[in-house]
Amino acid sequence: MPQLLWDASALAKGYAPEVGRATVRALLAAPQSVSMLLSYVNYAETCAVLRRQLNRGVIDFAAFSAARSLLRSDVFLRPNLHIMELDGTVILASIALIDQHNLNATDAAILYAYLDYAQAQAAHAPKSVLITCDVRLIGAATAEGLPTLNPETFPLADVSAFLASA
Amino acid sequence: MSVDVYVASKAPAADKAALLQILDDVDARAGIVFDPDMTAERLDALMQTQRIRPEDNIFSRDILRARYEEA
Repeated sequence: MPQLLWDASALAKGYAPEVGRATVRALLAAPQSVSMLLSYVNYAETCAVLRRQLNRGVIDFAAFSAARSLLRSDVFLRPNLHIMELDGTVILASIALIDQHNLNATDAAILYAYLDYAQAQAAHAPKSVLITCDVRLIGAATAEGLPTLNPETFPLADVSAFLASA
Repeated sequence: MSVDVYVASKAPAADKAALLQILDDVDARAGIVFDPDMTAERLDALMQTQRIRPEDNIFSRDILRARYEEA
């Protein structure tokens, strides 16, 4: 079973009517044997996009409040979802990814931490897969050897097989 | 309640109870009454009333615009 490394661009789809929403919800509902990782920054980024849609009148407060509740439960109440902290050493080292892939500072730090996490896993550990619909991040991750899954293009029907894969 | 933290650094992991207290405070300041029983199906029903076209990918595109001006 793969380990899922979440990016906010994909996670946000789980809280709104969007292309790929069903795939995201199916991934989030993966059995507890599937380990997931999310950075604090990505959690805050997802909270922020919900707030912006409320402030713009795209969603009402009831929908906003419900989405924030579900997001909080998904991230903090799932025993198989782990939260990742980034410190100064990671941020400084990630500047190499900014230089190489033209990423912004936050994305570079998160990608660096995910790459570090993936490389730290034992050889027999499940493969780590970055879940994102950020094309720039997909390009950078692919170039660095980290597999990706874009829920906008990944069929719901294939999720079970993906989660069962090595 | 489990809140596992992977630290991509040498810094100590945050205290779990402290994290949840922070979230309670954040929600209270926003007027959100955290509903631990919220489900994707209930959220779906609420979102159906918001006149959002799924093909616009409003939320995820907004995240990309916040990251990159040209997105």
